[in-house]
This record gives sequence, C-alpha cells and structure tokens, in this order.
Amino acid sequence: MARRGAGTPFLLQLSLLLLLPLGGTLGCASVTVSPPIVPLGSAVTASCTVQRELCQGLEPGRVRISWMLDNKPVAGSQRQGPGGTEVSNLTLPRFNHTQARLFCCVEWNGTKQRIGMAEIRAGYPPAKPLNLSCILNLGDYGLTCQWQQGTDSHLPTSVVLKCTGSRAQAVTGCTPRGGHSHCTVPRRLLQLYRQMEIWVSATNALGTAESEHLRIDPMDVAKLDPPTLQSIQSIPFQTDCIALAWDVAWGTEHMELQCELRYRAPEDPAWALVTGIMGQAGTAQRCGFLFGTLYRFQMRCRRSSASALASWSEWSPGRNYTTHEKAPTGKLDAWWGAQPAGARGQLEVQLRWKAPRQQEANGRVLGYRVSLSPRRRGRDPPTICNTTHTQCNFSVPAATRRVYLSAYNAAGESAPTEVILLERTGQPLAGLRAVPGGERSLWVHWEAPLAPVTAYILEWQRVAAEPGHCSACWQMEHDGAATTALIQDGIEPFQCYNISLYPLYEGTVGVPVHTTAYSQQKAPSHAPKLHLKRISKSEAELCWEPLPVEVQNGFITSYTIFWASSITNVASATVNPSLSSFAIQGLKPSTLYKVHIMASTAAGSTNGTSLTLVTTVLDDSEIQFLFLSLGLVFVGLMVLLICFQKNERMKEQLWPSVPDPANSSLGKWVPTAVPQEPLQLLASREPGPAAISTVTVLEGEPGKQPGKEHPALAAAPPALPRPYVRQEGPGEPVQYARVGGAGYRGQRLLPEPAPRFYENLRVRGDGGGGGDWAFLEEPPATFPLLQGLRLGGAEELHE
Amino acid sequence: GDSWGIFTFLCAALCNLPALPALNCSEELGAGQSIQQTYDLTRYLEHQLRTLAGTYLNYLGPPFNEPDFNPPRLARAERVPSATVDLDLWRGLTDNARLAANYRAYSRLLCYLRVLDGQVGTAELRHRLAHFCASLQGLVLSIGGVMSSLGYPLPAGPAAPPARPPRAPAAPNDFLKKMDDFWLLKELQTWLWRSAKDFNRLKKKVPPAVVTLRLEARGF
Repeated sequence: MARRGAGTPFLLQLSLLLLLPLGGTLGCASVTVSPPIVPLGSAVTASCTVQRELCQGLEPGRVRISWMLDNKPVAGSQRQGPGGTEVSNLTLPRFNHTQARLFCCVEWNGTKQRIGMAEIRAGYPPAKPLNLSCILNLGDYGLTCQWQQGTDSHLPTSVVLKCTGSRAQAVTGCTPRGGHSHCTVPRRLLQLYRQMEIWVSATNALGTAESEHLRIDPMDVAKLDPPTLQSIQSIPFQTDCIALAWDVAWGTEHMELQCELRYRAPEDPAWALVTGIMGQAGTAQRCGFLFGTLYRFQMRCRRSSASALASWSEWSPGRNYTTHEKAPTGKLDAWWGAQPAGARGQLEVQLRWKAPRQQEANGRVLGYRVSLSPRRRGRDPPTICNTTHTQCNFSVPAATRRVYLSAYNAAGESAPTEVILLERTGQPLAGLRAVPGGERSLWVHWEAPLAPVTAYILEWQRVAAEPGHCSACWQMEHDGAATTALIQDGIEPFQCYNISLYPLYEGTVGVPVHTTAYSQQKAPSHAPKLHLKRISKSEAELCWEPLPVEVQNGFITSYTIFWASSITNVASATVNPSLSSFAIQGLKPSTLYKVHIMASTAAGSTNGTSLTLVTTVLDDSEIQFLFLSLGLVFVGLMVLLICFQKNERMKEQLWPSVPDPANSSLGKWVPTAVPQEPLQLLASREPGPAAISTVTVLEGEPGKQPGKEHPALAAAPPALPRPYVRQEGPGEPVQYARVGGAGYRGQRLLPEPAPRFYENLRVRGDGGGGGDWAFLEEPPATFPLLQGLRLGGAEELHE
Repeated sequence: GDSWGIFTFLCAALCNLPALPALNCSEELGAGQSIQQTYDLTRYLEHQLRTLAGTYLNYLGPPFNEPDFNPPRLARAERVPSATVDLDLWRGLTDNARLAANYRAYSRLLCYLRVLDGQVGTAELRHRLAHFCASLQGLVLSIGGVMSSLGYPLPAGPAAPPARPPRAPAAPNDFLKKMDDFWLLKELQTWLWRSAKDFNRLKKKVPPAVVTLRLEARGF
C-alpha cells in the first residue's frame, strides 16, 4: 500500500476499506463454521468456499484447499461447488481446545496462503451459582447479595441478579462488577415488608444457569445496629434488683424489637442471659444480683416479627455497674490456739479465720472485729482486736471461754460469730493418711470417729529447716460425717507438709493426729556427700549426713551405694534410709575404687559425686604385726651389737684380730748357737747394736758401699750361714735383712728344693759345702726375712 | 381551571400504576403474616415521614418549620383526604370499610406526593421523597394484598380526583401552595398513625393460629 502522509489518515483507512473487498485475497474465500461456539469435546464442522474468479494469482488448474487448525494441518474433503466454486468441508470430531483459529489455505505461487479464517471457541454451559445470601443495609436501604460462582466455563459469561416483587415481572436487580460475585440492589426496586424473589442468572453462548430462588422480605435480612444502654440503677434500694434503661439504635425506632440482656461478674465463668425483653419498652428490671459486685451488661436486639432468617444485631458496648453494698451475712470459719501465759492467769490466744465468700461479704470487707461479748444496742462492747488481717493474737483472762468475731464493710457489720475456746482434750482420730490429689493438692483420709463430730479442722505446715508459720494454712470441714477432705491452698509440689487433724466435738476439741505427705515427689536435688570413715585391705566404711528436708523433694526410700574399680564390675548395695553409714566388704587390696551414693525417692533418684578410695595393701593388724616384728628385730640386733662389743671372746670368734708382727713372738727369736765359727764369733763378740732400718737391694759393683746403708757389711766376706737364735736381750732389734754390698746377686729362686712351707730352715751341720745350699755363702736372697734373720749374726761379725 | 385539568390528568396517569394487577403476586403467606407485614410497613412509613417532614418543612422555610405553627384548616385543603374523622365513627366501621378507606386514601395521597416529588428543588429531598413514595406504594399494594387474603374485594378504580368538586383551584400564590404541602404532610401523618392502630387491632382479630407465634415472641 502506498504510504500517504500523516495528514490524510482518514482517507487512507477509507481506501483500505474500499480496496480490500475488491482486490484482496481475502475476498475470494469464505469460511463458515457451525457452530462457532461449541461445548468442549463436541464436533465442529467448517466449510471453505473458494471462488476462482475473485482470487487473483492462483495457479491454473484445480485449486487445492487445505486446512490449518492453529499450526496443525488438518484434512478436509473437497468437492466442486455450485457456480464454479470449490468447497471444502471439514469435520473436527472432538474439539478439545477452549479457543482456536481455523484457517482455510490454498496453494499460491508455490506456497500455502491463508485465505480465510474463523475463530472457534469451546467451553461448558455456565455452572449454577450457589449459596445466594442477602443483607439489607439500613443506612441506604440497599440490598447487598452475594453468591458463589460455579466452575469456570471458559466462555464469556454474563452474570446478573434478578429480582421480582409482587408484579411477578423479573427485572434485573443489579449486575456485579468485573469478576465479583456480589452486587447491591437499589431501594427503588425493593419492596419492603413484602416477599421478594431473588436469584442469580449466569448466561453464556451455550446456555443459562440460575441459582436457587431466594424468597425473602428484605426487612427480614436487615442488619440491625445494637441498642445503647443508657443507665443502670439499684431500684428499689437495699434489694438485690437493678433497673436498666436503653435506647434502640437509630433507624430501628419504628420496629418491633425483641431484645436479650446478658451480664456477668468478673469471677463468673459464664454470662447470665435474660431473653424476651421488649425493645420498645426502653426499661427492664432484674433481681438476683450479689451485693457490692461489679457487673458488666450488654444487650442485643432483633425484629420480633421477623422470620427465622432474621439475625441478631451485635452485642452492644458493655456497661459496668457496681451493685450497692450491704452488711456481711453468715458465719465466719474460725480456728484458735490458746496457751496459758503470764503470772496473772492470762490466756494467750491466736485466733485465725477465713474471709467470707463473695455471696456473704456483700461488698468489700473493710475489717474484722473481735470482742468479748456480742454487740448490744447502745453499748459498744470492748474490742480486743480490730484488724484487716484474718488473724489476731491477743491475751484474755484465763476464765474467758467465748470471744465474738464479726466482719464489717462500708454498709455495716455482720452478726458476730461466737467462738468458744474449747480445750484440746478430746479423743484423737485414727487412721489419718494423706495421698497426693494432683500437683498442688492433697487428699486427706481418716477413720470415722466414735463420738459425733460437729466439724473438723485441718492444718498443714511446710516442713523445713527454719519453720515459718503459715497462718492461712488451715481449713474447716463443716460436714461432721465426712472422712475425707481436699487441701488445695498453698500446697506446692516437692515440699513436705505436716498435716494435723482436729475433730471438733460438742464441748471439746480432740487431740490432733499428724501425718506427713508430699503432693508430688521427684528425685532429690542432690545426694549426700560421702566421707570415708575407715579403710582397710578389704573393706571400707563410708558415712554421710542425712539430706535436709528442703533438698529431699520426697520421702527417701533408700540410699544405694555403688562401687567399682577398673578391674571389677559395678557393685551396689541398698541401705535403709534411717542409716547414715555403711561398710563395703569384699574389696580387693591395693586397688583404686570409685564409690558414689544414690538417694532415691518414690519418684526418682539422684547420684552423688564420686569418691575415690584406695584400699590398703595390708590390714592394719598385719601392718602392726609387721612393724612390731621389725621393731623387735631391730631391738634384738641392737642388743646383739652391744653384747658383741662387750664380750671379747665373742668378738674373737667373729672378728679375729690379726696380731701385729712386730709384737709377735717371732720377733723375739734369736738365732741358735751353731757349732761353727760364725756362731762363736757371734758369741764372742758383742753383738753390736746394729739395727737396720731400711733394706735396699743393690745390683751394684762389688766393693761399692751403698750410701745409706749401714756401713757395716761392705766387703765382708760372705758370711757363713748360721742359724738364728732368738736373742733374749732388751732392745735387741730383730734383724731382717743383710745388706750385702758384694756378691749380692739379687734375688733368685732357690734352685734346690726349697724349704717346706712353714718349716724352719734346717741348718746343715757341715758348713761350707753341701749341696743343699747352692749359695751357701750367702743367705738365700729369696727369703729376705730369712736372710734378715741370719744377718744379725753377720753384722756382728763385720762390726 | 387548566392547571387542575393537567393535575387531574397527571394523577390519573400516575395513579393507574398502583392499580395494575398487583394482586397477581402469589401471596402464599397467611393473612396473619400479611397483616403483620402491613403493620410493620405502616410503622416504617411513620418513621420515614418524621424525617421527611422535618427536611421538607425546613425546605419550605419559616413559618412552616416552627414547632408551634398550628394554622387553621383552610377550605381549599379539603381535597386531601382528611384523617380527622370521629374516632367512634371510625371504629364503628367494618374491617372491610376501614381497609377500603385506607386503600383509597393512600392511593390519593400517593398521587399528591408524586406531584410534589416532581416539583421539589433539592436532590436530597427528591431522593427522600422517591424513597417515601416507593414505600407508600408498597403500602397500597400490601393493603390490597390483605384485603384479598381476607376475601374482600378491592375498591373499584383509584379514587380519582374528579370525585372532588373541582372548585378548589390550584394555589394562586406561593404561600398557599406551601400551605397545601404542609397540610398534605400533616394528613399523611394522621392517616399513618391511625392505620397502625387499625392493623394492630386487625392482627389480633385474625385467626390466632397464625398470629399466636408473633404475640408470644413479643410478650414476656
């Protein structure tokens, strides 16, 4: 198409419109689909009619018509139609798409060209709308209805709310906006106070569906506003009745309403309901209220002539009112304890009582008064106590038997309760036991008494290290025939309570009986600490302190002691809870044991910390014996030592003393006179005092005199051996050796048979020769001592 | 004169509407319930009129909206069906006669009101008047329904203005016109008040089986 300037868009459109039907390819074929909107899954038939003459550019010959459904080719049947047209029919047996385009195509210049199109839609008939309900708004008197659409039909559906009045001509009440399923019928179409029929109609190309017809009077479904409570009064005064006044909501003044009132005190579990109140009356009276209590009132209304469809309005905003007070009524439960005290015969009384219930208190109790005589007109009795607590301790003369207790509030004082101070001399009850009744309560049971009882008093005190006194821990059971009671006040789990029961007889109070109980037990907080008292080879004695009551958390049923070592298994023993020591037997000596104690109650056990102990190797007795024996042995040894020291002979036996050779007898021996010259020589000459102090063996030249030696023996002819005789002479030294200057040839072994051991040298009589002595001339050098022994004579010779 | 003729024509045209077969509506409910509904509708109309009258009189302006305005009845206002009939006389009538009188009176009153609706200036007033007219029409239909359920024939045709002698001309001036409107509202009020009593009485007369339920619900 030619592109014109922007100045003539209208002309362009016009020309397009004119040109298209004339020369365009679209004009040559026409597609018809019947029906264009079908139910999903049903058959669709289409036909495409091609007029050759109108189609330009077609190839000569037969035109071949083909079909395309969106992008998929489908086959149709072709035939010649009237007037030189080609007609192709197509049947789609099951049309499953909600929306599709069907194209009729022919071959054109070698390509397929679409020459006709039809749009097919499929879906379901509309679903029936459900749950139609309407509400009339009293502000503008418009009726708002809502419903639930059915399942989607995949086709464009128009939904309309229809209504009909008494004319029986259905008109469209309203049309919902967008896809909403609610709309509002305006006032001018409504017939108030008359039956109307309302329903929803949904229409699409495949059909129409209508909801259930709703037959209602629009006023029956009006949403009312709640009334407003205006005033509440106690009328007449001093009774338990109140008078209410209210106003109905604006817009409902002309209606006949029936209303309901509900009221409640904060401690009440549920609302009290009063029905059948006429809305128009504006006032109502009601009795049966408690005195001095705060109540909350609420009201709601409904059209009394409405059918069952009419709903109640919301509850009005609440209004509070406190009823007036009255003097308390009834008797107070009282309990006392009395002890004589003081020198002047006074009686110390501890009086306790329970606060009156709400029904009897008739208001807020301001205080209590205790006096000695009941109140009489005109005279105020002497007041012993005036208190806001529920107990009083006071002193009265010992002869006092009665005191009078009364409660007072802002409106007056109650009639006094007579409390007779009876003595506790009556029969005690038997069979008192307490069992847990829950986490915080105890059931107390006892046996029926022999004598008739007017009431029972139960007391309970917590058992603890520092005993506190709970003044409210008591209650009175008024039924004298009861044998069981429930304690709920102030009972805590895991605490021990000491429960006492006093029967109140006619003229006396019974002696109390006591029992202890737990409302709930658990394992002790910790186990006692173990201490080792004594340990030996095969047993160990442990001791512990019993657990204090606060830690027990229950009645201790037993203590269990566990011991184990690295080589043995864990062993245990259970101990009676009254004991506080235990001896473990059968331990192995010299082994490391770990012991711990477990304290058990009925509800659990707690383990203590581990204690390590080592058994001894020996028993005490054995050790003692050992030490004793060692000691004895030591002492014996000491004694022996001392003895030895003292006793020479013993000493000699054991430690023989080696004599000093200098002092030996051998030293005193002198050589004997040998019948030879040397001997005579010897005898002739005075042995000179020749003492040898040192001996040196020389290997030197003959004739040389050693320096140090005694200058005695130089160049002396070799002396003849001569026997030695012991010289008995004082101061005669023993001569051991001879210093020979010459001819000393040093030591050499005796070639000849040596003298036998310990055998004195035998001196041969013949001197000078003998084969016995190879060196007879000289003393054998190998026996220096012997030589020394002989030297004595030689020296003398030389000197 | 001419205006009266136009008025008559308008009325006739408008008043034919309520006379359409309203009786074709299938009232399956018992007579008792229709009476109850009619009674409730009357009370509702009374309540609506209070608000409407207040607004309209304010629209008319002083002296009409003053509380102590109590003018004498002018002769010309007699075209409006008067409710100030002797009460003994009224109670002496049969139920049928009373119902018929109510039916006729309200039909005519509706006519007049519709004319009023056409002339009123403010949109709010028009809205309220339209609302009231719709309710009043409902009342006429309800009364028709009650009559048919009790077996009484409907009064023949609307009580056409030609019954009235055409000697009362249209209001010559503004003030007198306002006066006409004032009296229309006042009569309407009295009619509604009396109708409520009538229907209340009728409710008790109709077979107790249907109505007992209602009474019990309202008593203590």
